[in-house]
Amino acid sequence: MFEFTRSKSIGVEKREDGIFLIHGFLDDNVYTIELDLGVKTPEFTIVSAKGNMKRYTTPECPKAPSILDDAIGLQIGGADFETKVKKLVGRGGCRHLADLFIECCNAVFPAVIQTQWKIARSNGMSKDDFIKGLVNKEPKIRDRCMTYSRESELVRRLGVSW
Amino acid sequence: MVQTVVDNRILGYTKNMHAGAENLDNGNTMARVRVDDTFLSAELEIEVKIPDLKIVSIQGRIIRSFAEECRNNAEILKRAVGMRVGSGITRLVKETIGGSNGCNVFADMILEGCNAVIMGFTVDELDTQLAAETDEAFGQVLKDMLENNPRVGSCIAFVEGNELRRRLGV
Repeated sequence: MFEFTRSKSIGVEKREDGIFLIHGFLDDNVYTIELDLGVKTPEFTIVSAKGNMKRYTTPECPKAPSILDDAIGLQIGGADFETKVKKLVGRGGCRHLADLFIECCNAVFPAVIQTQWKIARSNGMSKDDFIKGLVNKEPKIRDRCMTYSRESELVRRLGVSW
Repeated sequence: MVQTVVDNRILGYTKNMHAGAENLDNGNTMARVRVDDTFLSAELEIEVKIPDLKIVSIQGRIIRSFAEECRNNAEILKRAVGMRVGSGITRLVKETIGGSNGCNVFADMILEGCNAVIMGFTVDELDTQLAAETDEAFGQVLKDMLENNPRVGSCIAFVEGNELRRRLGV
């Protein structure tokens, strides 16, 4: 029998004005938390943040989302972004809210890639050509992991170098 | 925001993650983690020895990925065997399992599994504490929690001088 379970669900929608809306939901044995973020691209700046603690452990917990106002203006992927969030939203509010916040922020970049891939695919581009273009124009992809490292089989196969 | 019929609000990217921890007959704890997002699907099992909290076995696989090459990454999980679920594990996992010579998906999943193991210990305690049936008893539970817990400043509930602390005289 599970002693503890946690589910996190994230959905991202792109609006016409270049703003991505991220909806996050965390549900576990102890907490139920909802979060809505707005992120402006290409700057990846947080422009809106609203949260709701639906199930919690102390009377102070529901006040935690009020700290989210201070997160507006943070740039995702900036130096020490996760550390800043853990301090600001976690220590100042709730570490489980901070966990969901980071999860939501991490969803924005793949959402941007998904948007680009959807367009590329509809124009007949192959996946290899798309990945090659991505690695060429997005420095943050390069050496992000072993699949996208300069020594990797994929990068060598695609003939990309940096 | 009110949705109108002309809005296209189809989600472009979705991610679902589930982590659970269960006690095994051998006294250890098993954490299972599953991630499914638009680009990738992966699963992971971590066995943690109790009471040492050391990872004694780990296995996982990437079932679906955008780049086919990601499916060959499971070998790196062996690096996690022997790690202790405790202070410093976040950095250790990110540096050892994630990064340019690793897989950030597996690194995040290991950390989710470790969190589930730790939270598993917390649930029983909280269950007992929050079972108080009167306001006075619940107040005493909260007071004990604030007085006996070393996590001062770790979140809004433990901030020194907050309303709860003042009300309970902590």
